[in-house]
Amino acid sequence: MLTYKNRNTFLQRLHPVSGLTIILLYLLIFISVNNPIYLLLAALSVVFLAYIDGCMQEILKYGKLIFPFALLIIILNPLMVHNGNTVLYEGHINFPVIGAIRITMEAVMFGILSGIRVIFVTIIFGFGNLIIHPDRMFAFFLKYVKKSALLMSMTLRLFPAIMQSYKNIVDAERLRGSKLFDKKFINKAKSYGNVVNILFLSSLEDSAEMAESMYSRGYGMKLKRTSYFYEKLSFWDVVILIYAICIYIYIIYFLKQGLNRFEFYPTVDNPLRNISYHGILICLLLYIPSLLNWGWKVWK
Amino acid sequence: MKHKIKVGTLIIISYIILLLIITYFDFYMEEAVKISMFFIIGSFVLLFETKEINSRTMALLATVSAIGGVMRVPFAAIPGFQPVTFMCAVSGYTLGPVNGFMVGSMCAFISNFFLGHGPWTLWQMMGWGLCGVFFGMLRKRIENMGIKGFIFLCGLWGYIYGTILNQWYVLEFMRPITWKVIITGNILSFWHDTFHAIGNVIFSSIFGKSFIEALERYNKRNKIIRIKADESAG
Amino acid sequence: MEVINIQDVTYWYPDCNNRAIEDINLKINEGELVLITGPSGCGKSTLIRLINRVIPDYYGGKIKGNVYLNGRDIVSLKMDEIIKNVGMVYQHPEKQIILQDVEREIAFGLENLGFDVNKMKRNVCEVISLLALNFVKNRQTTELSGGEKQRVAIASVVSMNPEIILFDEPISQLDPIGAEEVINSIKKLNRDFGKTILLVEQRLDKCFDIADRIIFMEKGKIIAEGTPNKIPKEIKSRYHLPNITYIFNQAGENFLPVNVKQAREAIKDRTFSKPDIVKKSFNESILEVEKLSFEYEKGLRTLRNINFQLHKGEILCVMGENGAGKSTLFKIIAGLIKDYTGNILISGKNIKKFDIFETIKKIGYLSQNPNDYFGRKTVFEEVSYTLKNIDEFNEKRVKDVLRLFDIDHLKEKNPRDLSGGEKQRVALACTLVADPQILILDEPTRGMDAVAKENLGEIIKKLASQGKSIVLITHDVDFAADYVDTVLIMFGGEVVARGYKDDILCDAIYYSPQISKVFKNKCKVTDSKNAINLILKSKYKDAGEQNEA
Repeated sequence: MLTYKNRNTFLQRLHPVSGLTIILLYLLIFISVNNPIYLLLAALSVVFLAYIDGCMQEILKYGKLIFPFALLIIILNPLMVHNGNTVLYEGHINFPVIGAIRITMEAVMFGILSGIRVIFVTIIFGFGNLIIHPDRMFAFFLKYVKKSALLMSMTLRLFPAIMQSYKNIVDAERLRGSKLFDKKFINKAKSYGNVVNILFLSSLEDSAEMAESMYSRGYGMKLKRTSYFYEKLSFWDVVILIYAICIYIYIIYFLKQGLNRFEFYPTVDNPLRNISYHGILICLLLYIPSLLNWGWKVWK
Repeated sequence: MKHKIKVGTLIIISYIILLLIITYFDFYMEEAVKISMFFIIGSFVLLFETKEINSRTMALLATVSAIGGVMRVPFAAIPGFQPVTFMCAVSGYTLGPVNGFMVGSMCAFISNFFLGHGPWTLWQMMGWGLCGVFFGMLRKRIENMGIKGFIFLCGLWGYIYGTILNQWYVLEFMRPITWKVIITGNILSFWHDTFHAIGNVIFSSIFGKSFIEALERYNKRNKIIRIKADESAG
Repeated sequence: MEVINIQDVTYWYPDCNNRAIEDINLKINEGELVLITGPSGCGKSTLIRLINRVIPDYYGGKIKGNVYLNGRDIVSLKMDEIIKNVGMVYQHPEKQIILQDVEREIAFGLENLGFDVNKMKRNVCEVISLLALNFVKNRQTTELSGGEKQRVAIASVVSMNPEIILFDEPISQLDPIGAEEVINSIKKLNRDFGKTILLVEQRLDKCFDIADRIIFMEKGKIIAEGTPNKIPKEIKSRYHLPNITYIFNQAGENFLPVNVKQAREAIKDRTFSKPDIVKKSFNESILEVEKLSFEYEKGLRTLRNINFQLHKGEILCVMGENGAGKSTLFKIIAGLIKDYTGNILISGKNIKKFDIFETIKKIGYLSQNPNDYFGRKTVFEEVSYTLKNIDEFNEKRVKDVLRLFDIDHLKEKNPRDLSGGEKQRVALACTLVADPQILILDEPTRGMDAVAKENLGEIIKKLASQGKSIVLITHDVDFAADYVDTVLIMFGGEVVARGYKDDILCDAIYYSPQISKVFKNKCKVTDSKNAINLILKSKYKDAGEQNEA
């Protein structure tokens, strides 16, 4: 499971907003950029950042998990999409929805690109999971979306407790002969259903007690609630935020100038011919967080 | 207040339908669907923030969301079997559409912190959230249909949820989008969704009634009766 | 000065015809530490909830009479006025904490009251120092021990700086170390900070002597009031007195000590005859554990080289601090965990060769939370559940078990609607219905009052006399001393002591019952009955007659 573990790294010490900004920045790049060379450079910068942060193994493992889906997309796209000039295979049977099979190289290339894109978008999400502490993020949101953030924090807190409750109930049921590991699906389903039933009823009772404790500490009064969040933006936070804003503006300029046009249909553009100085510059700028991280480590 | 909520959600839903129609005729509008998703989530959060909530409901929402999230873990091995959908349906039915949405989206959101976030997170939140909303808004009709209607709808939502969830790769990563692509992408998960639907039906038929009763009993507000000393009942 | 005044209050829970509390009249002065005690169901929890208006606001119901806070009628006060003056700490630490971060949990009440961030920060810092939570504050609340969690809950209430603090059985779910931490905090709040404290508690051994005043309740009424030094004559029941006091009372003494120090003082000039200690001899070995080792995670040695034997008809007590591996050891024996090294033989057969049906018929395991058992609609169905699963449903058997635990009259009721003690008995019945030869009870006495404990102890003795072997995992040394035959102490995953109860408990530094501590150096005695007899037959040294020591 990809849970947040406190490793005391540069990225984990940042204000949750900075962490979020970095993740969103990378997400934006991966979703909007089309040229495979840019994508590869950007992807490398993420891996590099993870390497310096010390969690490269985990995100690569995570990427491996998503590989089947990427494969699915690589296969589906050429089957579904029939545009493109360079035909690799043409079938003659007219299937009901798909039509005649017509696999073009352009569709295959696009499929591969999409597959790679899926893997890296997922890796970014996993990376976010490792560098942003969820509870601190919710505490930050508490100022703006009070009830939802409190609900998020409470659900997060209850998760491991209810998980433990679940395990205890499974143990108790097993010792009473419940058919949890039976071969037949219907028996398994019924037994798990029993466990869910007990878990549900017990947790309802517990939540009534929790509600009373909240009530006696004043929750639910008509007064305006304040929020206990006092993390301030440090020097590094400001650096990262300014950097992110600059790159964001640069990217918008890049997109508006049409430098992102990279066609797959009817023929695949030559990626090398499509590169501009701006694109390369943006990709190189993406390595700055890694450099900052490395610098912080060295000068500690 | 209730009137305001009904109108609000109606507007949102019609907006979505409109957008979806636009999307499939104009290629560069895939983003429009994502934007409208954010819009839906945002407006439900807004509705949740503006209504009064007491500690009982808050504790209950957190508990049910956590249970839903925990339920995802042991069933990861059995394909498609997701009791979470059933929990969202029951919560939406007894607690109302807005609360039902929050339970559904929190389930997905928080459990993904333990199981792994990804581009699917948003769609899971939508799928389960809308399940809660659906059961909350159509509560009266379902009550009239009785428990069989509830069970049938739970099964149906197995497919609806599956469809919504498929969009994470259909809408996001397959280009260009045509009717063909959408339909095939959704058909692939048919078996998965069928198991899901079967699981929902089994669950709701065995436990549907008792869960709903338990939640309603929890929600019951008790009256306070004060007796003056001179008219004491002895 | 009077801060709380309860006048003629009677209360009915919603949809209930019985009075939970009746004609309560109680005045509390500023700075008092008042202890309210009584058996389960006597209304003490209801009484205490009157003071922060949780009853009737949160529960509903019918109420008669008036409650005054600082002279003002509580009905006329706004909710935030009450919250700022009265705080309440509940029984289960787990169910009070709602957030993962310790500081935010403590600040929760302050957020509700609308304080600004700087003031909140100050209050939180001060309270953390007050309750010695400095080493706890950087950890997640889910990782804390029971005592630490409860102190965080107390901190969360104290941060709002109320003048009156209510405690509803705060130590009943804690281990002895955690309980001591909490009671010390309560003492500090009263003695050093002048808070008015109302403490409802059943574990009287730890808190009887710190109270300024003690209120005794029974069946919804206040039956007497006293102080630790002046206990009213009509108070004789086991659930109203600490263990030591009860023993001296039963022995007919005039002076009733309330802690070990006073008791030792009371008997220092007496001589005692030798106590009759019966050491049961055991013939048949029913469980043998050889060289058992287990690692929960790689490198984390949870259990190391455990060796012991359990005989037919033996009652064994297993003690040790939290995390010593007691529950893990017996979960392995019960067959829940399979990847261990070593041998476990039941009646000579290795348990690895058992299938689930044999395991159920040989071992019954009662887990710590009885709520884990209740998923069926009636008690009868619940108890029959195990038998139906192994295809051995026998209606007579179920009825016999129900009668043994005196729950026959409850058989059509929903198990979740029962009281704590009744739930415990139903859970026991569920475990025993398959007639296992070995019964493992994990912390069965948590939250029980003294009479319920006595009943449980008698049932355990009866089962042992019928040839069953019973393992009692518990922190409650006094209870164990009254009913077990042998003791096993674990520490750090290893067995550090094993033997007859009188040998081990009397010499123990920490795991000795209060009785042994009182009679230390005079004679070896561990259980209450013996102690009562000894005191009854004791003679003073100066009374002339020399006794055989």
